[in-house]
Amino acid sequence: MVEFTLPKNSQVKPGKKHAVPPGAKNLRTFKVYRYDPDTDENPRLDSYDVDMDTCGPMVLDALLKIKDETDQTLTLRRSCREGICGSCSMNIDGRNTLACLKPIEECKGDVKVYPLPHMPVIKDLVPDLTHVYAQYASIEPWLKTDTPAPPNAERQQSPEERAKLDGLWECILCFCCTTSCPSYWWNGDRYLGPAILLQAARWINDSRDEATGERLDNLEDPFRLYRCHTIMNCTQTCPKGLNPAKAIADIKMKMVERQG
Amino acid sequence: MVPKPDMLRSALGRVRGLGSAKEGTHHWWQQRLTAVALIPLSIWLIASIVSLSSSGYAGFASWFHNPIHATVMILFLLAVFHHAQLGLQVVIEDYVPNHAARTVCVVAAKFACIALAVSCVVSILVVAFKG
Amino acid sequence: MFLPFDFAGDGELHLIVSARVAEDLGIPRKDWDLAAMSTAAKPATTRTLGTRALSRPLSPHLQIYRMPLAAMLSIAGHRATGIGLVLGLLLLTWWLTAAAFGEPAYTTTMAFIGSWFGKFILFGFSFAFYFHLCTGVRHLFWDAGKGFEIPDTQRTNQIVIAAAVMLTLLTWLIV
Repeated sequence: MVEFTLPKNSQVKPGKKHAVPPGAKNLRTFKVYRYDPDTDENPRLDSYDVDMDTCGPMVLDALLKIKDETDQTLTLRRSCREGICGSCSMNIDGRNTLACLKPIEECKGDVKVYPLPHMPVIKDLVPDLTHVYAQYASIEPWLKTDTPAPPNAERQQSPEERAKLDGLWECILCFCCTTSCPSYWWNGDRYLGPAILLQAARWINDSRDEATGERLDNLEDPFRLYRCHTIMNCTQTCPKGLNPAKAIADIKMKMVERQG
Repeated sequence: MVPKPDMLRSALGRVRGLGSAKEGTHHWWQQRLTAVALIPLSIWLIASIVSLSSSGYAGFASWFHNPIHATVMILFLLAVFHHAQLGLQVVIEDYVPNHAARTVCVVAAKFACIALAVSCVVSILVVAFKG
Repeated sequence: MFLPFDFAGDGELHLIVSARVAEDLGIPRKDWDLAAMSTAAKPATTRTLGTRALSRPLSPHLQIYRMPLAAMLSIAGHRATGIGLVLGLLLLTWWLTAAAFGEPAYTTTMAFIGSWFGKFILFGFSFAFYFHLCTGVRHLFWDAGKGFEIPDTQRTNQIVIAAAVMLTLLTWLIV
């Protein structure tokens, strides 16, 4: 049976309560998942009070303020702070999203911040993405052609064909969707998950690509594709407003279409 | 996902694994076909059960003496057990990660569904053909 | 993770590693140059090099994820009712085979089904059936590529629940 509970070394223990910043009136409590690989201790949930009067509006602002002013050991990935790099994906208030796009105001009660769910944790809010990146590589996310490109010109594509890629190319590979999917939690070793399947759809739908059939062949598998049971967590959680569930349904329809 | 202990294998090698099964669409499509068939068939069954609930053994027997009723019932049984067997397979594959245990469970579920289906069909035929 | 380096200038390559990695590599303690160790490197861990990544904790999942209604309808709804209906098939098999065995067996079975407990079970199965039917019809629409936008899903969530309840009540009102 799949493990629905956390292994012993992963159970989250109560953590430290950090000192309230002096003179702050407008406080908000952040409960943040902490794990230090240099000790043998279990992960813990640390509590920080942040002065909202001197803090930016987004959860990322608060996390960086904590790191700057209260606890320099807090570790997280972030880069662009405007929802285009996909680095600061994490679980905030029970849903996966980008910390830089999530207003603190939208969170109810204490703001709970965890790493992306059901992933090996390297440190604090940093999950190990090696496996999902390898899954990305496995779908060969580049244009595959046998026909040489026209000399001194790009491969042509009609505006209608180009429009088929809208809603797919915008994915920033933050893996909010993949790690929101219970099916990925239980069978992520073989199931490719929503982010990678959306990327697969991006190449399957590209009229310039000449490997569509080969791409479908590689997905035609009870686990790689068909672990998707349309639970819809992916679409509901995507911080970019994309629709991985629909992209997967589109792949399934193509699978049926080529059968008869 | 939890990394498997084949640590020294490359991540891509692990993901590619044994390759794609080149199968899955048939299973998926069969599940949808049986689902579509079951919409009218199961509603018909509910209606039959409601009408048979108070009519006793004689009412039951005469209902299935009608070849149309017997036929629709057998169609329902074939569709529903096929649908159940396909669905159970997916559930087992989702939750039983060990390959050997998974195979045993899937095969057991399929055998059980076949056995139940045949006994139901035979029962209908027995009632249908009895005087 | 570590680099062999001739920092002592004695013609030998030295490993600058934490005590844990030194243990992992099986380097005997007598060969450790403890003076060169930073304060951060603490000994007394039993993890081995090969399992370091394996010993990473798994981040919380079911424990912390706030499941949307659609996910509940899928897992606690469609899947759970599907499994329940397989049990219903056992009851159906019992009913049909009893009829094949003849009137006495059939009467016994019907006595059980007609009891308050039997009716209670039947009520449960009927709700499970209508629920599975309604969520199943929605699945068929999804499989045809329809109804994937979030507002669509939220609307069909409500429709599915309402339809399942109404169909169940309607059936039992007719009986």
